Amino acid sequence: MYGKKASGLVVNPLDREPATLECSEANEPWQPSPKWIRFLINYGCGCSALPPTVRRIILLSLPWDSAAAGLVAVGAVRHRLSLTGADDCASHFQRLERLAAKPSGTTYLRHEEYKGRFRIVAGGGGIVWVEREDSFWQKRLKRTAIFPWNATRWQIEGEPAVLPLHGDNQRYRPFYELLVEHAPTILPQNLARSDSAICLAGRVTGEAASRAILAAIRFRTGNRDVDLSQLATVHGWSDGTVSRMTFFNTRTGQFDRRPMPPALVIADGDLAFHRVLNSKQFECSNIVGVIHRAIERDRLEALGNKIAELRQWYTPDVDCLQGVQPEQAAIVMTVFKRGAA
Amino acid sequence: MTVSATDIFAFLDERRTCAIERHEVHATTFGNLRRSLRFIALRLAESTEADGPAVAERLRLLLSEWLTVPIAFDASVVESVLMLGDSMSVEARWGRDVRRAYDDARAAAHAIQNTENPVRVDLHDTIHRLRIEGQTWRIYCHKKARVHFESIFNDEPLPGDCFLHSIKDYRDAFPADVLVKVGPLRSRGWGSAPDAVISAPRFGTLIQIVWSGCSDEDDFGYDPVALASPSVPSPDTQYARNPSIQWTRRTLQIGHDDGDQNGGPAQDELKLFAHAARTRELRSATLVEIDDDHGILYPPQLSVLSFDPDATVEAFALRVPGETLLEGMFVVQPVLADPDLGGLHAADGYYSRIWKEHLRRELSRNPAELVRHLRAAGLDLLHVLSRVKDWCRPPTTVIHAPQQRRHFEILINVLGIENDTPTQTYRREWWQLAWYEIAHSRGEAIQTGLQEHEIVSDELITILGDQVPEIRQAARAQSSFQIQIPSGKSLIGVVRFHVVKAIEEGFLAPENNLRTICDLDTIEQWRE
Repeated sequence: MYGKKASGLVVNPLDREPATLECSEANEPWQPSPKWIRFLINYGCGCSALPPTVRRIILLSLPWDSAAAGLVAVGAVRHRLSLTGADDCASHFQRLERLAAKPSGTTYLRHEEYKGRFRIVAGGGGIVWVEREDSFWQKRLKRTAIFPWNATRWQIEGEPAVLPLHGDNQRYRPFYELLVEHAPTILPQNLARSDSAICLAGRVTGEAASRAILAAIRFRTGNRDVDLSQLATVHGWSDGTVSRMTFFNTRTGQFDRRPMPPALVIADGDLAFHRVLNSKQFECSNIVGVIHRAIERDRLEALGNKIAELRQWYTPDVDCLQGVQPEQAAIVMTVFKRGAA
Repeated sequence: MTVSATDIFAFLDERRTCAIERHEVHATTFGNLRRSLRFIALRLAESTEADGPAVAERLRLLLSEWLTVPIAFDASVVESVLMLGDSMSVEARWGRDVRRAYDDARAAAHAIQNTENPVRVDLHDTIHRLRIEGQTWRIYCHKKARVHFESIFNDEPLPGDCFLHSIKDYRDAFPADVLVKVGPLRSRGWGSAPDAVISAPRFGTLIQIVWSGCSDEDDFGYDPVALASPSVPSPDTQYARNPSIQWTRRTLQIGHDDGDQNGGPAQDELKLFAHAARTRELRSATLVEIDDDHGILYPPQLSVLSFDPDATVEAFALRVPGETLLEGMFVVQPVLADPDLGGLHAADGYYSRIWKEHLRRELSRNPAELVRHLRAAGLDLLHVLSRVKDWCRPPTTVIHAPQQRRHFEILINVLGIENDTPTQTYRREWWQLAWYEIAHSRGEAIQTGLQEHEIVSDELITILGDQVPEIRQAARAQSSFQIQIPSGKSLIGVVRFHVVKAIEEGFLAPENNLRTICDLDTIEQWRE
């Protein structure tokens, strides 16, 4: 986990002036980020930094329904922004190869310069062959090859580009810089590349509800402000930028894009947590379930039963809790790691 | 203005220690009444007499209400006790022990009539003190109990926003200094409250006014995450579920009960009854209220066909009450053509018009005689006269009628309605056809097998998906409406939409009363 001792002031790398991060929840007046918000972002950083050697399931219990899951997820995004190779570039070509091995006929690609859309027709030996669908262009350029070195110029239709389409993807940098004190420096190239390692599993009430609860929290530095849903950079919530987080709609069971299996899934609510745990797509991912306790007894008991079930295969990871006890009253957490009880 | 998470955390940071102040009320006469009725209820629950368990159930309801609601000790208490009839017939039916207890109960009921209920007195004094001290406070109670609270404060009316009735109210409430609660802390059933009262408090002090002997649920305040956390001190320490919130506890004894000395510690009727209920064949259920008088009980985790007027995609979907089916959405009930009835569904009201007319006529002629005939024929309901008046009401959400088929048959026989079917092709008695009409109005047609239910739901989602704009418009204008399934579709009939006004857990009901519209008074009897 990153250091907790706050210096109070950090330097905004863009304008080189001391900057602070202020926060407003539900249109309340601006104030320095409250403890609970700082804790959750910091905790998200820590979860993302957990070594991938053993699968962990983490439960955070809060007294109140809030944007806690979004804060943890954005904290995790912040951590990956400082890692080398934390993007989809490498995994993108591998994914195109997999699509070529099993062409579905319904997946199309678009190139950043060539017009029209392309269908994957063959692949292998480090090359993926695509064919233009539009008949007008057939005579001029019908078939072309994709190599690992140019794969990021190709975008799967309906998904965000691996590289940004527009040049405004740096706009959140001052906020990311200020989110976690004493965090490693952000690598600028990461702000220009999509990443699918972090997944936010939204509320069962749907994507709109998930987005709305995140949008209720706003951050301000200097004269600029953004809301938490923007910092999450979920594809479709902030058009035209890269996406550093995938979104799993627990209501429909659909991803916002077809990603590599995420390394870390943050489930927003007890019902989302159940769905994520029951989904094969996340069976290798670390999972953080963020729940609140003001729910009906049946749901609390369902969660208790699930924890009892987990205990058959997972053991409490006491070490993982060391040093990350929340200063905030009423936040409780427990961590399980895979291993015989 | 809504409460924010920051407000809640700031409040909890200031109060890492919260307090429970338990006012335990004792009263000899009320204690005698409790003990006598408890004895009768437990004895009759095991009775093999036809009416024994039904009477025991009514006594359970009475006691459960009296122990969790600040009722006035007035004539209604005596009237409720006297429902068993005269002492001689009680002895003849259930034996001398029950008769002796019944006589004691009657004497106690007469004795407390027009005395002040000490729970009400303490409640009045407590709120009065809080007002003088300028503290902020809330009252947590069931919404039907609210009127009893308000009746205590005729001199200084309670503000409307001081009441919390549901987990949603609790979630939306601003923190307060004090939360007032009558009855023990239970997560389900009579006098229930959210576990969050303990695991996520919104107040510094909980003032709990309880009758002696009524103990809190052992695991109230359940927090599964805290229990799994290694930092929790002890799993069996009451109120130590959450390590970051500490509780102090103080008990004040109010009044005395001679029976406590004679009969040992007061017994906890709510726990006794809950244990007895678990041994019967009842099923857990969640209540979806659809208007002020009606609701539908659903088994837990059942996916219900529903309509979300605000959804841009998947307006129609199968949703679980309390999870994905939420207040403001609509429950969708198909009333499909039944080949046996020749599409009778479309004519809801044909039979009901006839029997209701007969009933009104008899009621206006001689109500006492009508009640006597109904009782003699085996209609063993409480407050028969008021029930009969209710059945006379014209159809609204449903056709108002007896809840049980057996009771309806008795009613029609007593009214002496002759066979008068619209066609003679159906080999069924008049009362049976009239009963099917009632059942249809309650949505009982969907009580088919699970697989068939899902097929119908899928088909309806497809059919209704074409009419979302019109349905959305209707939903904005009305809380309950119906549409005709267009001709040429695979299903024939109408689809009814009922807005979800509230959702509540904590019911144990017979299987055949689930998934159908019931009046809320009837549903009350199945509260855990």
